[in-house]
Amino acid sequence: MLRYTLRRALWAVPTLFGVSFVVFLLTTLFPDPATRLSLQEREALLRTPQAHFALEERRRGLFLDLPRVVNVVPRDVRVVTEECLLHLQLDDNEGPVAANTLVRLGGAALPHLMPRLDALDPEGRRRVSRALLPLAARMGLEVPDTTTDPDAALLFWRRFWDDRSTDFTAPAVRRSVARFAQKATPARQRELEILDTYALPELLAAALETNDPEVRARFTGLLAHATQRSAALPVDASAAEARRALADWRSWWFIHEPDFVEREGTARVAATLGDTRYAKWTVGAATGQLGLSTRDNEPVYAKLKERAPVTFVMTFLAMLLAFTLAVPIGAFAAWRRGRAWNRVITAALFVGYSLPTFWVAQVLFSLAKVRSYAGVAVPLVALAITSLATLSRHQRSSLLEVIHADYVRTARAKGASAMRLALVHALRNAVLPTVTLAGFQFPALLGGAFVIEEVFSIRGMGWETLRAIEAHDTAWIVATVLLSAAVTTVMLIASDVALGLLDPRVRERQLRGRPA
Amino acid sequence: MGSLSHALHRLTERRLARWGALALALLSLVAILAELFASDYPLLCSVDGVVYVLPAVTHPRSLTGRDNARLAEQSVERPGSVFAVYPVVRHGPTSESPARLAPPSAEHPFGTDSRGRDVFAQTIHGVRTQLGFALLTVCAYVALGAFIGATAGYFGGTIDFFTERVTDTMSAIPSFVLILCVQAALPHPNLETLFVTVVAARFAEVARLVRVEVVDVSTRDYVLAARALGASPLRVLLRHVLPNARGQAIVSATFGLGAVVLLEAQLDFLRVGDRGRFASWGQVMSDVRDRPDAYWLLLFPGLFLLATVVATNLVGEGLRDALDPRARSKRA
Repeated sequence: MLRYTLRRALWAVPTLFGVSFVVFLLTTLFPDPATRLSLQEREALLRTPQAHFALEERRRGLFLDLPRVVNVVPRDVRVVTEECLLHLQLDDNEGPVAANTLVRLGGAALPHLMPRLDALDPEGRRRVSRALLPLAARMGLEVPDTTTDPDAALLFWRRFWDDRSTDFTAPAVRRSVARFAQKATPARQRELEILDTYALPELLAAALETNDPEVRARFTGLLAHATQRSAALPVDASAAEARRALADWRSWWFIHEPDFVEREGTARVAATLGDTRYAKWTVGAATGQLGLSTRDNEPVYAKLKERAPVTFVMTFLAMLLAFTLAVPIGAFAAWRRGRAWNRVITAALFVGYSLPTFWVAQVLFSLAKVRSYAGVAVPLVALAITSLATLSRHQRSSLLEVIHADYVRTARAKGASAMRLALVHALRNAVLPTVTLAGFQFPALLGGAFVIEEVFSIRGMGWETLRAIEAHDTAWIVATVLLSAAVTTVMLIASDVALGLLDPRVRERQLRGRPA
Repeated sequence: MGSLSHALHRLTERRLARWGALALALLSLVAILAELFASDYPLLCSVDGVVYVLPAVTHPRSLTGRDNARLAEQSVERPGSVFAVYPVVRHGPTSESPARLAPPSAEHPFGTDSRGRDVFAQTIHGVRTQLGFALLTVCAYVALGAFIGATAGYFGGTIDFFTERVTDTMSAIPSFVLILCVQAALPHPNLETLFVTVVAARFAEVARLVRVEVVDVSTRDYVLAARALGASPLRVLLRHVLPNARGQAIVSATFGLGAVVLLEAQLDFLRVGDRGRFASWGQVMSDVRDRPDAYWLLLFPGLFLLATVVATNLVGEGLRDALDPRARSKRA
C-alpha cells in the first residue's frame, strides 16, 4: 500500500507542475503597469528617473521585465552597465534614466565600467563620471567640484579606481565582511561603505546567517545604505520584526540579484532558463517567497498562515459533519423505502442537493443575524447541507444495491439477525463508495467555504480573497489558487489510499497498475 | 449502452425527469418571452393613430420616453388617444423607479432592489441571461472536452498521456476558486471572460469521462469490423465510436447546465464580474448583503435559481439512469 501511495505522490508531481503552469498563466492576465501608459506619459517618465524607477520596480515585482519561458540574453550587471554607458555616450532621451540606473547599481558596476571608460569619447567620459557623482556621495567620499573644472569628476574616478581597484575583488570583499562581523570599527565600516553594492551578496549572506541581533543590525544597516532602501534593523527588534525584515531582503535579492552579480559560464547558461518569468515565479512560490500583499503590504506567506487554517478547518468540519450524518440518513432512507416517509426524505434530499450554498448561507444569515465566531454552527450547517444531501443520496442508493446482493441474501438465509445483516454485511460495503466521494467533495466544499466566509464575515481565505479582488492584490490571488490546488491534490490521493485500505478489491486493483 | 433515441424514450417514462423537463421547457419559454412578462413598453399599442407592434422588443424611436406609465397617464388625460396592451408588470429590468428597496406590491410584485429596479422584471429577464449563458458555455466546453477526450482515448499514446496530465491538473484546482480568481485578476471581468474561464475550467472533466467511454467502445467488435473494412480512423471515430460514447457527455452536460447557472449566480452574488449589463439573479440577491431584512430580494430570484437547478438535476439523473441499465434495475 505504501508503494501505491508513493506512486500516487509521484504522479502528483507533474500535476502540481501543471497547476503551477495554470497559475502562471493566470499571472500573465494581470495588467502590466507599463502598457497602460500613453506615448507622452512614457516620454515624461524617461525625464523623471525616480518615477521611471518606481514603475520598473512594480513591474519587476511581477517579473514582467523578464521573458516568459526562455531568456536568450540574460541580463547581469555587466550587460546593464554597458547599456547605460551606451545611452550616456549617445546622450539620448534615456540618458537621465541610465545615469540613475548606474548610481543605483553603484559599486557593483565599477569593475565593468572603469575599464570601458577609456573607450568612450571625451564628452561621453565626462558625462559618465559626472553621472556617477551621487555614488561618490553615497560612499562618503569628498565630491569634487565640477563647476570650475569639467574634468574634475573624471579625474576623481580615475584616481579612485587607481587606489581602490584591488578592493573590488571577491577575496578582498570576503575578508572585509568577515572582519566587520567580528568587530565593528568605523574604519571597517567605511571600507564596506566604499565597496557599496559590490559587497551585497556577502553582506546579505552575513545578515541572514547571524543570530546576533547586534551583528544583524550592522549588516542590515550596510545593506540599507548601499541600496538606499528601508533602514537598518534596530538591535532591539522583536523576532517577528527581524523575520519580516530578513524575508523582505531575501525576496528583494531574489528579484534584483542580476543587477549586482556578473554571470559567467554555467551561471550564464542557467540564467537562460532561470531568469525567466515562469522559473522565477515557480521558485519564488515553492520557497514561500510569495511577495507582499499589495493591499496592506503584509507578507502573503504570513497572511496565508493566519487565514488558511480557518478555511480548511471549516471545510474539514463540514465534511466530517456531512459524513457522520449522511450514513444514518442514507440508511434510514433505504430502510424506509417505499413508504410515505420515503417520498418526503427523497424529495428533501433532492432539493438539498440542488441548494445553492450561498443562498442557504444568506438565508440562514438573514434569519439568525449571526455576525461572530460564536455562531460557528450556522455557517457550518450552511456549508455542509449540500454535501450532506449528496452523500446521503449516494449512501441510500449504494445501500439499496448492497441489500439485493447475493452475499446479503446468503447471510439472511443462514439466519443472521437484522442488526448483524445491516451492520456487518450491508453497511460496510455500502459506506465504501461514499468514501470515494470525499476526495471529490473537498474542492466543492472549499469553494463553498469561500462564499460562506464572505456571507458570515469569517476572516478566512475566502474573505481575504474577496478583499484582494477589490484591491487587485495579485500576490494573494496566486497564493490562494496554489494552496487550494495543493491541498486538493493531497485530498484526492488521501481518499484513494483510504479507499484502498478499506476495500481489498480496490486495493488489489490499485496495486496491479495505474488507476484508470 | 443503448442508442440515444432509446435512452430518450426511456427518459420520458420517468415521472420525475418528465417534471424536470417540463420545468426547463417552461423556463426556456419564459426566457424567450421575457418581454411579455415585464417591460418598459407595451406589447401592442396605438398612440395618436399610429400602431406599434411589440414596441417592447423593437424600441421604436418615436416612442422613446413614452413608457408604460407615461402612456397610461396620456390615456387618462386624453381618453381614446392611446390604446395599449401592457405586459404583466409594467417595468423593465433596467429602469429605475424612485421606490428603492420597496417590498412586494401590486406595482412591483417581487419588490424593488437598492436602485429601484423591479425585481420581477430582473428575475424574468434573468432567466434569459442565466439559461442563455449556461447553454452556450456548456455546449462549448462539452464539445471541446468531448473532442479532446475522444482523440486521447481513440489514438492513445502521447496525446493520451498529455490529456491525462491536463485533466489531472484541472481536477486538482477547485474550479470555483480558479474561476473566482481569474475573474478577479482580469482588469475588466465580464460575461465573455467568464465564458472562456468556465470553458477552460470545466472541459477537462468532460474529456476525462468521454475518454473512458471511448477507450471502452474502441475495443468492441463493430469498431474492429469497421476498421477491417478499411474505414479511415476519422470515420471510425466519428461514425462508430463517438455516437456510442456520447452518453456520458450528455449526462454531464445536463448537470453542467445547472452547475453553470449556479456558478454565475454565485459570482454575481459575490459582486465579482459583470455588473449592470444584464439582468441577473445573483446581482439582485447581492443587494441583500447590505439589507438582510429585504427578504424579497433573496426569495424570488432564489426560488427561480433553485427551480432551475432542481429541474436540470432531475433531467440529468433521469438521463443517467436511462443510459445505465444497471441503475434501472436498482431503482425498480
